[in-house]
Amino acid sequence: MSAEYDVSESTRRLLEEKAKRRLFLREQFLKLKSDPFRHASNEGGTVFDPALQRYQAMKINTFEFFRPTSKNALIALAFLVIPVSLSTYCMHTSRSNAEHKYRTGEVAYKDRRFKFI
Amino acid sequence: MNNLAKSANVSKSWLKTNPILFAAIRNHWNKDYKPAAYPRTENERIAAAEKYQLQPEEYQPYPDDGSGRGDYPNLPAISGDSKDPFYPWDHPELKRNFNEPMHADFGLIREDRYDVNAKLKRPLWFYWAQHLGTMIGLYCIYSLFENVKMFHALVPKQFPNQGKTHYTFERE
Repeated sequence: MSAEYDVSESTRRLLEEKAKRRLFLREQFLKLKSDPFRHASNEGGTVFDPALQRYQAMKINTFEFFRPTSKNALIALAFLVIPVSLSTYCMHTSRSNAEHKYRTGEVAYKDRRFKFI
Repeated sequence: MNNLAKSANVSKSWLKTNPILFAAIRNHWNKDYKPAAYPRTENERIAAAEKYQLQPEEYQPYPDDGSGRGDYPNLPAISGDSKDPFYPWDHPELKRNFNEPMHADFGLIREDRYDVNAKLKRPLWFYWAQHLGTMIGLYCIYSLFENVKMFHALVPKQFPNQGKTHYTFERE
């Protein structure tokens, strides 16, 4: 049977099931989209897409199943804590050193940087 | 009291006739669509696959490592750029079909963002080398010639009657 196709029997069945589901959803979509009584349902003209809502709900509900693990801690350190603290430290030291030089008169007023902010 | 009941009725009917508020307040709450906990049993897996419009064979949740995605499916990442532009999509602007599960990183692999399936003409390291070579090379040239300034050779300016005072600013 599967000799007629270039995919295995199980893959073929999976693809057929997917095509069947796609056809069903396409028909459902066309039915909802062309429903003349849609505006009377008071939900607006667009067809509500549950998958889109599931995606948005997943994005804002990740805290519910969040567990502190070493991997999560590493990600937070690498992308939040270390960059923020490093840039804060660099900026603070450079600006403090410059301010010290200005106040002790090592730099002429005309050579100051960031004079107007 | 009667008045109060009447005004409550008015606000209810106003809500009923306002589609945006009706859809946002009365329907489609995130709590009804948020992912469930990571599926442990076979039945939970099948139920989750059905919920996300997938076949049980292709349903694969994200590993339960505390990243908080629950039973959301780990779908193959296909960027919008790599999807067929000639397929009759239900939502052509997103190259998406109705009720098709969305990738968890959809915000990254949209058509106007990053293409994870890009077929590059050359390997990625080549482009990195090209970019970094240009930037570092330009910086090296700049920093070298910022320290080693070069000028055309000049002689002192020559004027007629040099050394003669034509005019002074002193008071006589």
